[in-house]
Amino acid sequence: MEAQRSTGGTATVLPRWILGFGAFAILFFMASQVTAFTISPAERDMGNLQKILYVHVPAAWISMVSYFLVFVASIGYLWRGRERLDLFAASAAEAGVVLTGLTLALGSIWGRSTWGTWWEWDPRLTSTAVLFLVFVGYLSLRGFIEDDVRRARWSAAIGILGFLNVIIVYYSVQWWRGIHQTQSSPETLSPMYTLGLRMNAFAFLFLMILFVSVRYHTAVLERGAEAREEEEALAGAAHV
Amino acid sequence: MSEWRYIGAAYFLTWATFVTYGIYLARRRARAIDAFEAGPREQERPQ
Amino acid sequence: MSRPGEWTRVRAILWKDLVTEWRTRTSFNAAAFLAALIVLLFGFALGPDRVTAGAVSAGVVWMTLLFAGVLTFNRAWEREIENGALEALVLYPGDVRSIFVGKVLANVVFLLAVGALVIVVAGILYGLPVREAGPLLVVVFVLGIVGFVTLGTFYAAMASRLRAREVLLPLLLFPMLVPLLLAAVEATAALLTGDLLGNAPQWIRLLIVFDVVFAVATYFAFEFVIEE
Repeated sequence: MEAQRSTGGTATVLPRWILGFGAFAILFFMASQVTAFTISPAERDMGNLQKILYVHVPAAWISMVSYFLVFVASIGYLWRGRERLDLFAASAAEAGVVLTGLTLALGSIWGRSTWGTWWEWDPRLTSTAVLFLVFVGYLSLRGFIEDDVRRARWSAAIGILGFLNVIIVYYSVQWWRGIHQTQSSPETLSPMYTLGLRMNAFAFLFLMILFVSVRYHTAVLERGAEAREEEEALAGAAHV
Repeated sequence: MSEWRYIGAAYFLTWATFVTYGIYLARRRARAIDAFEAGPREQERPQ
Repeated sequence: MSRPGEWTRVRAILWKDLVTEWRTRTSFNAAAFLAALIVLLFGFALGPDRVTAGAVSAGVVWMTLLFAGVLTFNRAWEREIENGALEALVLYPGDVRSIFVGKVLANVVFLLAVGALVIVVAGILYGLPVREAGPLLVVVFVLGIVGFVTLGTFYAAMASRLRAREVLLPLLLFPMLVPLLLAAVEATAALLTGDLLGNAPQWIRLLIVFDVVFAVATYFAFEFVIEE
């Protein structure tokens, strides 16, 4: 199963849709942030702190979506061997790691502000930390492999395994915390809250799509340059 | 109210992360375009 | 695995690895000694009062196994890579997967032996009621090691061929082992303290799920990791 190289047909100009979509995504993000921030009333128990959830929760959700993209693209790559799927997976993984890191930092701020501690071993935060490490490992591994086909195959393998662990990690940590400590995670369900949350969730989603698209196109260019270097090196060697 | 400090930190961190990542993406893309357009002859590659 | 040839190959690799290891026993001796040492050191670090408590000692036992075990996985592959046996094995028209299964089984046997030693040493040093814990402890033990070895062997097949293999293997492997670690430690701790809350079966079920999911996933993914 030969992996197809992606040297042909690479434009150095971003497709028009990305520019338009990017402008939309940025504007929508700003609008969502302002909206959620202003329209949400001070909650009963948490005061205004619940506003932190408008960034913390969407970051968590969309990082999961990114990893799901890694999962699908990795399976696709192993199945089809199309190199671009690997480049897409890596792009999604990078966005996922950024979002997961942000989730952890925001979760820490949230915990400090509500419970007084910088870290709590609650299921969600802990699973997020584990997943962060899994996909940081994914990106690290890629840095160590020079051969593009091996890099793609090995990344795909650990991307799939890593995502399979998402559910298992979450439930195992949940049971673990259930035994040691019953900790309620306060969640307001007033309609204002849900609207702000959903808007921001979409806002983060659109930004993620923008990031992944730009990163992907960059990756295709980088791969093209790398492939050309290899061909040149081989041609040079042949002449000598 | 100190709670606004946390809220501010959270929102600032979010925006800062996205802006920083956006800048990183732009710079990486610019470098990739250069590398791609440079062509085989002009690329310095210590042999 | 219905084809007879595949199982024969698995047995051949398993036998080869076990015999090779048995002849020199350097790996086993080193791993066993290191494991015993770690158990002792934890006793110093945590203090005799803490380690005699069931929950803490369970954590020590499993972390010791993880540290000692992670050293063996890279070595298991390096042996093949050193004498070019890996390329030769892959060239055979046979199934690449049987190599993986054979290696996993060999490593399982190896780590079961190391693990048995860890339990004995920890049992003595920490005064653990191992016999009272019953046969379920053996079940937890085997399930935990099988899961650990499956993922460890798989990730080591990659890490062992890269430059920073000593760092890369734990970096890739340990986050994946979190559910297994939780389940194994909780089940072991529960069993060592009489399992008054009856938690052990739930964790054993998680171990089984973990083992099955990753045994299947690594089995099918392995061919993508080994082809040259």
